[in-house]
Amino acid sequence: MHKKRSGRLTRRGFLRLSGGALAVLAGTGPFGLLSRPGYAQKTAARIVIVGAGAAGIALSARLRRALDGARITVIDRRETHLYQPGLTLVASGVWKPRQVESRTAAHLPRGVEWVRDMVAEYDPEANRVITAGGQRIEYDFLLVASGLQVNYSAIEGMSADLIGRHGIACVYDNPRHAAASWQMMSRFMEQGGVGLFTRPPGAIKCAGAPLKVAMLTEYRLREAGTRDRAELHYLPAGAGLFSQPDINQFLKEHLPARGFTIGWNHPLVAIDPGKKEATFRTPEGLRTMGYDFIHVVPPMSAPQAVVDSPLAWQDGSFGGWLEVDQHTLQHRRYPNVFGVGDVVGTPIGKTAASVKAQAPVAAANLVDVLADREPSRRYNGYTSCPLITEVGRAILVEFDYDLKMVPSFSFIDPTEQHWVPWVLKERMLQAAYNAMLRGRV
Amino acid sequence: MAFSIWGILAVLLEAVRPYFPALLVVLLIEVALLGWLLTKRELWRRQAARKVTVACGVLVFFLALAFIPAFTKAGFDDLRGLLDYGVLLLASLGCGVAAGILLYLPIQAMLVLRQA
Repeated sequence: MHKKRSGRLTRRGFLRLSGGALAVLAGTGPFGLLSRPGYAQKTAARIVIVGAGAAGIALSARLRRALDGARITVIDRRETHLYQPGLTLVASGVWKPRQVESRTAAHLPRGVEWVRDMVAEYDPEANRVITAGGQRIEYDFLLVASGLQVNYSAIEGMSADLIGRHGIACVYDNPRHAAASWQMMSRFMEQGGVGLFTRPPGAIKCAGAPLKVAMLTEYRLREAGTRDRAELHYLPAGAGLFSQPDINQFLKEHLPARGFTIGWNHPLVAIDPGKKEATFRTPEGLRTMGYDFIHVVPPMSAPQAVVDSPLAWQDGSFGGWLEVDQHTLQHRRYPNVFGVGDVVGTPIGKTAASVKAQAPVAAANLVDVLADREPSRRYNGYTSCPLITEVGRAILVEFDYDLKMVPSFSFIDPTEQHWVPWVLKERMLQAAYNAMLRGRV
Repeated sequence: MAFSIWGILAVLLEAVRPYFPALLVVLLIEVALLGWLLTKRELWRRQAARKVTVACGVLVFFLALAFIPAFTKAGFDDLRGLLDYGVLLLASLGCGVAAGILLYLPIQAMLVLRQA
């Protein structure tokens, strides 16, 4: 006996529809995980990606999907991948170090060759790189995503192994430093004294981090009930606190309101850990200050192999960083070379959020060049920083090359402290970061 | 920064990825319960199950409202204005609805067992 047909969806019809929908989803959007899409460009190009940090992995994922037949090689000797935006949370005791560590192998897409070595020399005239282990790797296209180096030795008396001793903290580089910084901060919370927070001249990774560490230390002191025992100094190298003018103005009012004394034009030049003294080169001459806790932020540069190579800007304010067009991310002199992430010499953009915006541009432009087209995509300098002001509060700052605010969520005022940006930072950004590594956002 | 629906879904997928094993266990329990309950359809107590489920959902909503800030290592004094309270309210509503959906079958199963 046949059932009477009605307008209602039958079970078979539902299954058929669901199957169709799943098939569509499987081939598009973030669900297109299983196969290379039909629009992938066929090529036998050799593509070398230097670095398996956020930028290198995101690029490898995107190019793996966009190209069919390309030989993609990633060069990096680090077995552990670091979620660097979480380091301030480790340094302030909010996260454990293991929360920012994962295996590099778990992130690299299948079909990508991983050379566990570091590039020691770039030879763009011969289209090859030479690794520290002596391998010569030739390429048709090179993507430099090697990150940057933290130059501890640029401060007299400073070295990385001092972090976690003599009241010295430094949030940068790895979770070991961040955890050691939390130990120093904890001791300072108990004992109080003089706290110094430095910010070097020049471009640095996550320029909000020195501010976050300063504000989180002040918060932790209040939480511990020892705020009145501490004297806090924020000591930037220049005459500003933040490149974006609205946020700069906000901080100029916010830090003094929380009891910080701001010492403008105070680049740290030397430290004496034994005496617990720091020396700054001020316009009035050298100034030495005693401290009980100091957050040292050393100057940063591109890795030495880039600095020493023809790929670096040879002069100007970006001297030593990778010379790319700030919009196309294509090298200005070697068209088969692109750069993404901390290593590039552009006005702003040394954050994971910048990588999120840069990686699709560089990958798409490389595909354009490979197909003999002009680079079609442009990076507008987008960068973002959930600037934590306290545990539980943050402001969400997003801006571009013009230092114009470009808020993703128009209903969030970037100069008002809120809980929601904190939740984004503490709960959601790592998910967004992982989606970026997979080339999905 | 422009957002796409695929981008948002990709981020949500990554957010729940660490909980996949636990979600799979919950899903298997739900499917097993559904299978068992389908063999006892005559014993279903739909209205009673709905009432208990709604009560549980409301309870979870209020618990979420009270504890979500602490879950994010924040306190109520960190919440400021419509934005923060609106998001807290929506998140709590989501927790309540999700709890209701997940609890319906176990509650129905308990009611069926009591009758059997």
